[in-house]
This record gives sequence, C-alpha cells and structure tokens, in this order.
Amino acid sequence: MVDVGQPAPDFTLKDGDGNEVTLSSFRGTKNVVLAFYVLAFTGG
Amino acid sequence: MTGFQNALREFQEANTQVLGISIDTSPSAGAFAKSVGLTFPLLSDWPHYEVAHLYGTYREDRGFSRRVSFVIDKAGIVRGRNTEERNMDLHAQESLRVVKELEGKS
Repeated sequence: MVDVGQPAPDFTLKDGDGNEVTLSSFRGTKNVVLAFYVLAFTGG
Repeated sequence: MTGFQNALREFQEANTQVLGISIDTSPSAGAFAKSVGLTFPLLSDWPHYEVAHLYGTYREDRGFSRRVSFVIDKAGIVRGRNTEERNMDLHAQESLRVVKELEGKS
C-alpha cells in the first residue's frame, strides 16, 4: 500500500455525472483527501 | 462517508479537495452520492479497480477494496494514511487534522 512520504500515483476517473477528475489537476493549488469506499458491502 | 461530508466546509477552509473513490459502477455511485447528500465528487473505480490497485487498497483475497483514506499535499506527496476499517468518521477527523497542520492552521 502507498505509504506516507511517497508520491501519490496519478489517475483520472469519472464521477457519477460522467465528468472526468484527474488527481494531478489539483497539484500546486489544493491538498486532496482520497477516501476509498466499499458501498455495496457496507451501505456507507 | 458522511463524516467527510459533515466536515466538508472545514476541509474547504483548509484548502483541501475531498474525493471519494468507490469500486461500484459509476451510475450506482452517483445514485448513492445523491441519496446521502454528498456534495464532493464520488469517483467510480469500476470495473478494473485501477486506482485501488495503484494505491494498494485492493484486497486480492476478498475481491474488494479496503476502507482507506490518503491525505495528499499540494506537491502530490502522501502526508497521511488511515486504515481504520470500522469507523470512517475517524478517517475524516484524522484527515482534517493533517490538512490543518499542512496549512498551518492547527
């Protein structure tokens, strides 16, 4: 698993409306919190 | 999950974008996001779980992604990681503490 101090791997994924979001687009301007969820198994 | 939503204003004030990543299909993630009133993006990592694999959160043995959150600073470096499986609210609290520290607001 990626650890503290390592570069965050870049990616592009779509949101529920089909808009693409790219991690590196926030570089230099915002911190990012990535939260991995498992909806189907937990209900949230 | 609602822990991040409840603290969203505080994350915004700490110059932080919250991104949820689910391994469910994009339409089902979208429906879920709306049903619980999420206003931050919930991204679908379905069907290949590429991002879960990239970050090592995918559990090969059980076929699904762990509940993990990462804090990434403006330079793209991971500055925090939470792996508490049972209580996602703790992820929001801990992530908020880290970004406030990054922003010098703690």
